[in-house]
Amino acid sequence: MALDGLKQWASLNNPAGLNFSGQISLETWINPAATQGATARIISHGRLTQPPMTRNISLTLTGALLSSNEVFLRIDGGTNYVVGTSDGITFHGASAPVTAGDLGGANGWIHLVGTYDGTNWNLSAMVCRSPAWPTR
Amino acid sequence: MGDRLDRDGWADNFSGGIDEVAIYDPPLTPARIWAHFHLGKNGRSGLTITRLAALPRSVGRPERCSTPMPSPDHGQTWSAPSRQAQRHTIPGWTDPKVLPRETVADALFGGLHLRTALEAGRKLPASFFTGSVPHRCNRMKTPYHSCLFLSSAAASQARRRSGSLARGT
Repeated sequence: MALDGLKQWASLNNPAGLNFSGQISLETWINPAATQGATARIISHGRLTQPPMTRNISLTLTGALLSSNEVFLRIDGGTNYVVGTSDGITFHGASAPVTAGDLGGANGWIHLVGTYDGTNWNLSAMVCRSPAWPTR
Repeated sequence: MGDRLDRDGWADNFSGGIDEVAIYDPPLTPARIWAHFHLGKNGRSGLTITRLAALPRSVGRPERCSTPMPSPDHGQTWSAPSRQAQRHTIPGWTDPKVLPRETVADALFGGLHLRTALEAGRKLPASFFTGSVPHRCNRMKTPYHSCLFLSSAAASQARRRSGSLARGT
Protein backbone atom coordinates (compact mmCIF):
# COMPACT_ATOMS: atom_id res chain seq x y z
CA MET A 1 0.00 0.00 0.00
CA ALA A 2 1.61 3.24 -1.15
CA LEU A 3 0.65 6.44 0.67
CA ASP A 4 1.44 9.96 -0.49
CA GLY A 5 1.81 11.49 2.98
CA LEU A 6 -0.82 14.08 2.21
CA LYS A 7 -4.30 12.71 1.89
CA GLN A 8 -4.00 8.97 1.66
CA TRP A 9 -4.77 6.58 4.46
CA ALA A 10 -6.64 3.35 5.12
CA SER A 11 -9.15 2.50 7.80
CA LEU A 12 -10.20 -0.90 9.06
CA ASN A 13 -13.46 0.57 10.43
CA ASN A 14 -12.62 -0.31 14.00
CA PRO A 15 -13.36 -4.05 14.06
CA ALA A 16 -14.28 -5.49 17.43
CA GLY A 17 -11.34 -7.88 17.33
CA LEU A 18 -8.92 -4.99 17.50
CA ASN A 19 -10.46 -3.51 20.61
CA PHE A 20 -8.62 -5.15 23.46
CA SER A 21 -6.51 -4.08 26.38
CA GLY A 22 -3.25 -5.18 27.88
CA GLN A 23 -0.50 -6.84 25.89
CA ILE A 24 -0.11 -6.01 22.22
CA SER A 25 2.24 -6.26 19.27
CA LEU A 26 2.20 -3.94 16.27
CA GLU A 27 4.10 -5.27 13.28
CA THR A 28 4.61 -4.02 9.74
CA TRP A 29 7.07 -3.58 6.91
CA ILE A 30 7.56 -0.03 5.72
CA ASN A 31 9.43 1.68 2.91
CA PRO A 32 9.26 5.31 3.99
CA ALA A 33 9.68 8.21 1.62
CA ALA A 34 12.48 10.69 2.19
CA THR A 35 10.21 13.33 3.66
CA GLN A 36 7.90 12.62 6.54
CA GLY A 37 5.58 14.83 8.53
CA ALA A 38 6.24 15.81 12.10
CA THR A 39 4.27 12.81 13.31
CA ALA A 40 4.01 10.20 10.60
CA ARG A 41 1.57 7.61 11.84
CA ILE A 42 1.99 4.16 10.37
CA ILE A 43 -0.55 2.39 12.56
CA SER A 44 -2.90 4.27 14.83
CA HIS A 45 -5.90 3.25 16.87
CA GLY A 46 -7.87 5.78 18.88
CA ARG A 47 -9.13 8.99 17.44
CA LEU A 48 -9.19 12.59 18.43
CA THR A 49 -12.50 13.80 19.79
CA GLN A 50 -14.03 17.18 19.49
CA PRO A 51 -15.99 18.78 22.33
CA PRO A 52 -19.43 20.15 21.66
CA MET A 53 -19.07 23.44 19.91
CA THR A 54 -20.67 25.50 17.27
CA ARG A 55 -18.55 26.35 14.32
CA ASN A 56 -19.17 29.97 13.37
CA ILE A 57 -17.23 33.03 12.53
CA SER A 58 -16.44 33.90 16.13
CA LEU A 59 -13.84 31.29 16.82
CA THR A 60 -12.70 30.65 20.33
CA LEU A 61 -9.93 28.50 21.69
CA THR A 62 -12.31 26.52 23.86
CA GLY A 63 -13.16 24.31 20.96
CA ALA A 64 -9.70 22.77 20.70
CA LEU A 65 -9.49 19.14 19.79
CA LEU A 66 -9.21 16.78 22.71
CA SER A 67 -7.04 13.75 22.47
CA SER A 68 -8.42 10.43 23.51
CA ASN A 69 -6.22 7.44 24.19
CA GLU A 70 -4.28 6.24 21.22
CA VAL A 71 -1.97 3.34 20.53
CA PHE A 72 0.39 3.92 17.66
CA LEU A 73 3.45 3.02 15.64
CA ARG A 74 4.90 6.08 13.98
CA ILE A 75 7.92 8.11 12.90
CA ASP A 76 8.48 11.30 14.87
CA GLY A 77 10.25 14.17 13.18
CA GLY A 78 11.80 11.83 10.66
CA THR A 79 14.31 10.84 13.32
CA ASN A 80 12.73 8.24 15.62
CA TYR A 81 10.53 5.22 15.33
CA VAL A 82 8.09 5.33 18.19
CA VAL A 83 5.59 2.81 19.51
CA GLY A 84 3.35 3.34 22.48
CA THR A 85 0.25 4.95 23.84
CA SER A 86 -0.72 8.48 24.69
CA ASP A 87 -3.72 10.20 26.21
CA GLY A 88 -2.61 13.41 24.58
CA ILE A 89 -0.56 14.42 27.60
CA THR A 90 1.35 11.42 28.88
CA PHE A 91 3.31 9.11 26.60
CA HIS A 92 4.24 5.53 27.38
CA GLY A 93 6.27 3.63 24.87
CA ALA A 94 9.62 2.96 23.27
CA SER A 95 11.64 4.60 20.56
CA ALA A 96 14.56 3.78 18.33
CA PRO A 97 16.48 6.11 16.04
CA VAL A 98 15.84 6.14 12.34
CA THR A 99 19.03 4.91 10.72
CA ALA A 100 20.60 6.88 7.90
CA GLY A 101 19.19 5.56 4.66
CA ASP A 102 15.93 4.34 6.15
CA LEU A 103 14.05 7.31 4.72
CA GLY A 104 14.07 7.47 0.96
CA GLY A 105 14.45 3.80 0.27
CA ALA A 106 18.22 3.37 0.36
CA ASN A 107 17.91 0.66 2.99
CA GLY A 108 14.95 -0.99 1.39
CA TRP A 109 12.07 -2.26 3.43
CA ILE A 110 12.21 -1.99 7.18
CA HIS A 111 10.65 -4.49 9.54
CA LEU A 112 9.11 -2.67 12.50
CA VAL A 113 7.69 -4.41 15.53
CA GLY A 114 6.57 -2.76 18.74
CA THR A 115 5.41 -4.83 21.67
CA TYR A 116 3.94 -4.24 25.09
CA ASP A 117 4.21 -7.17 27.49
CA GLY A 118 2.13 -5.60 30.21
CA THR A 119 5.12 -3.87 31.78
CA ASN A 120 7.54 -2.66 29.13
CA TRP A 121 7.35 -1.43 25.59
CA ASN A 122 9.98 -2.64 23.14
CA LEU A 123 10.70 -1.64 19.59
CA SER A 124 12.58 -3.60 16.95
CA ALA A 125 13.63 -2.08 13.64
CA MET A 126 15.50 -4.35 11.23
CA VAL A 127 16.61 -3.33 7.80
CA CYS A 128 17.98 -4.96 4.69
CA ARG A 129 20.62 -2.91 3.02
CA SER A 130 21.46 -4.83 -0.11
CA PRO A 131 20.43 -3.08 -3.32
CA ALA A 132 20.08 -6.57 -4.77
CA TRP A 133 17.40 -7.40 -2.26
CA PRO A 134 14.19 -8.47 -3.97
CA THR A 135 11.59 -5.80 -4.36
CA ARG A 136 8.66 -6.50 -2.13
CA MET B 1 -3.06 3.13 8.74
CA GLY B 2 -1.00 5.99 7.43
CA ASP B 3 -2.83 8.67 9.37
CA ARG B 4 -4.92 9.35 12.40
CA LEU B 5 -8.60 8.88 11.78
CA ASP B 6 -9.67 12.46 12.30
CA ARG B 7 -7.45 13.73 9.50
CA ASP B 8 -7.32 17.12 11.12
CA GLY B 9 -4.90 18.67 8.73
CA TRP B 10 -1.88 18.26 10.94
CA ALA B 11 1.19 16.62 9.54
CA ASP B 12 0.19 13.18 10.75
CA ASN B 13 0.42 11.32 7.49
CA PHE B 14 2.97 8.65 6.68
CA SER B 15 4.52 8.86 3.25
CA GLY B 16 5.73 5.68 1.59
CA GLY B 17 4.89 2.01 1.47
CA ILE B 18 3.25 -0.08 4.16
CA ASP B 19 2.99 -3.84 3.88
CA GLU B 20 1.94 -6.82 5.97
CA VAL B 21 0.47 -4.96 8.90
CA ALA B 22 -0.31 -7.28 11.79
CA ILE B 23 -1.73 -6.76 15.24
CA TYR B 24 -1.37 -9.40 17.94
CA ASP B 25 -2.71 -9.42 21.45
CA PRO B 26 0.29 -11.25 22.89
CA PRO B 27 3.70 -9.59 22.72
CA LEU B 28 5.82 -11.27 20.07
CA THR B 29 9.01 -12.80 21.41
CA PRO B 30 12.35 -11.73 19.94
CA ALA B 31 12.71 -15.19 18.35
CA ARG B 32 9.36 -14.87 16.66
CA ILE B 33 10.11 -11.35 15.45
CA TRP B 34 13.37 -12.62 14.06
CA ALA B 35 11.56 -15.42 12.27
CA HIS B 36 9.03 -12.99 10.82
CA PHE B 37 11.86 -10.80 9.58
CA HIS B 38 13.60 -13.72 7.90
CA LEU B 39 10.43 -14.99 6.35
CA GLY B 40 9.23 -11.58 5.27
CA LYS B 41 12.46 -10.27 3.78
CA ASN B 42 11.95 -12.35 0.68
CA GLY B 43 8.45 -11.10 0.24
CA ARG B 44 6.70 -14.16 1.54
CA SER B 45 3.30 -13.71 2.98
CA GLY B 46 0.35 -15.62 4.28
CA LEU B 47 2.41 -17.41 6.88
CA THR B 48 1.10 -19.49 9.70
CA ILE B 49 3.40 -19.03 12.64
CA THR B 50 3.44 -21.88 15.10
CA ARG B 51 5.66 -23.48 17.69
CA LEU B 52 8.27 -20.77 17.63
CA ALA B 53 8.15 -19.99 21.31
CA ALA B 54 9.64 -23.36 22.18
CA LEU B 55 12.46 -23.20 19.70
CA PRO B 56 15.91 -21.76 20.33
CA ARG B 57 16.19 -18.13 19.40
CA SER B 58 18.01 -17.26 16.27
CA VAL B 59 21.67 -16.47 16.35
CA GLY B 60 24.12 -15.32 13.74
CA ARG B 61 23.83 -12.66 11.09
CA PRO B 62 21.53 -12.90 8.13
CA GLU B 63 23.66 -12.87 5.07
CA ARG B 64 22.18 -9.82 3.42
CA CYS B 65 20.80 -7.76 6.25
CA SER B 66 22.21 -5.46 8.84
CA THR B 67 22.55 -6.32 12.45
CA PRO B 68 19.16 -5.74 14.04
CA MET B 69 18.85 -2.57 15.99
CA PRO B 70 17.44 -3.09 19.47
CA SER B 71 15.44 -0.43 21.18
CA PRO B 72 17.84 1.67 23.21
CA ASP B 73 15.46 2.71 25.92
CA HIS B 74 12.19 2.11 27.64
CA GLY B 75 12.43 -1.25 29.23
CA GLN B 76 14.29 -4.35 28.32
CA THR B 77 16.71 -4.14 25.47
CA TRP B 78 16.68 -7.14 23.24
CA SER B 79 19.99 -8.77 22.59
CA ALA B 80 20.83 -8.47 18.93
CA PRO B 81 22.40 -11.32 17.03
CA SER B 82 26.11 -10.83 16.72
CA ARG B 83 28.13 -10.47 13.60
CA GLN B 84 30.61 -12.86 15.11
CA ALA B 85 30.51 -16.55 14.56
CA GLN B 86 27.97 -18.09 16.84
CA ARG B 87 27.94 -21.50 18.36
CA HIS B 88 24.69 -22.94 19.32
CA THR B 89 24.04 -26.32 20.85
CA ILE B 90 20.94 -28.07 19.69
CA PRO B 91 20.01 -31.01 21.89
CA GLY B 92 20.23 -34.29 20.03
CA TRP B 93 22.84 -33.48 17.48
CA THR B 94 26.54 -32.82 17.40
CA ASP B 95 27.79 -29.27 17.51
CA PRO B 96 31.05 -29.25 15.57
CA LYS B 97 32.11 -25.96 17.14
CA VAL B 98 34.19 -25.06 14.13
CA LEU B 99 32.02 -23.12 11.74
CA PRO B 100 30.08 -19.90 11.89
CA ARG B 101 26.49 -20.60 11.28
CA GLU B 102 23.09 -19.21 11.93
CA THR B 103 19.99 -20.90 13.16
CA VAL B 104 16.62 -19.63 12.16
CA ALA B 105 13.38 -20.73 13.67
CA ASP B 106 11.45 -21.64 10.56
CA ALA B 107 7.81 -20.75 10.91
CA LEU B 108 6.88 -22.40 7.65
CA PHE B 109 7.86 -25.84 8.85
CA GLY B 110 7.75 -25.45 12.59
CA GLY B 111 11.39 -26.44 12.73
CA LEU B 112 14.83 -25.05 13.14
CA HIS B 113 16.72 -24.05 10.05
CA LEU B 114 20.47 -24.17 10.34
CA ARG B 115 22.91 -22.99 7.75
CA THR B 116 26.58 -22.34 7.58
CA ALA B 117 28.61 -19.63 5.97
CA LEU B 118 30.59 -22.27 4.13
CA GLU B 119 29.98 -22.12 0.43
CA ALA B 120 28.03 -24.94 -1.09
CA GLY B 121 30.23 -27.48 -2.79
CA ARG B 122 32.94 -27.27 -0.19
CA LYS B 123 33.39 -30.22 2.03
CA LEU B 124 31.94 -29.97 5.46
CA PRO B 125 33.38 -31.63 8.52
CA ALA B 126 31.93 -35.06 8.80
CA SER B 127 30.45 -34.23 12.12
CA PHE B 128 28.52 -31.22 11.01
CA PHE B 129 25.21 -32.67 10.01
CA THR B 130 25.18 -35.68 12.25
CA GLY B 131 22.76 -36.35 15.02
CA SER B 132 19.55 -38.03 15.96
CA VAL B 133 17.24 -35.13 15.23
CA PRO B 134 15.34 -35.69 11.99
CA HIS B 135 16.44 -33.25 9.38
CA ARG B 136 16.80 -32.79 5.69
CA CYS B 137 19.56 -30.91 3.98
CA ASN B 138 20.00 -29.02 0.80
CA ARG B 139 23.68 -28.79 0.07
CA MET B 140 23.69 -27.85 -3.59
CA LYS B 141 20.73 -25.70 -4.53
CA THR B 142 21.32 -22.82 -2.15
CA PRO B 143 24.29 -20.52 -1.69
CA TYR B 144 24.86 -22.03 1.70
CA HIS B 145 24.83 -25.42 3.22
CA SER B 146 21.60 -25.65 5.07
CA CYS B 147 19.58 -28.15 6.97
CA LEU B 148 16.10 -27.94 8.32
CA PHE B 149 15.72 -29.59 11.67
CA LEU B 150 12.12 -30.46 12.27
CA SER B 151 10.16 -30.64 15.44
CA SER B 152 8.62 -34.04 16.15
CA ALA B 153 5.20 -32.92 15.02
CA ALA B 154 6.53 -31.27 11.89
CA ALA B 155 8.65 -34.33 11.12
CA SER B 156 5.58 -36.55 11.32
CA GLN B 157 3.73 -34.26 8.97
CA ALA B 158 6.66 -34.21 6.58
CA ARG B 159 6.80 -38.02 6.58
CA ARG B 160 3.15 -38.20 5.74
CA ARG B 161 3.57 -35.64 2.98
CA SER B 162 6.62 -36.95 1.27
CA GLY B 163 7.01 -40.44 2.59
CA SER B 164 10.66 -39.85 3.11
CA LEU B 165 12.75 -37.85 5.47
CA ALA B 166 16.46 -38.09 5.70
CA ARG B 167 17.75 -39.06 9.07
CA GLY B 168 21.30 -38.53 10.24
CA THR B 169 23.68 -37.58 7.47
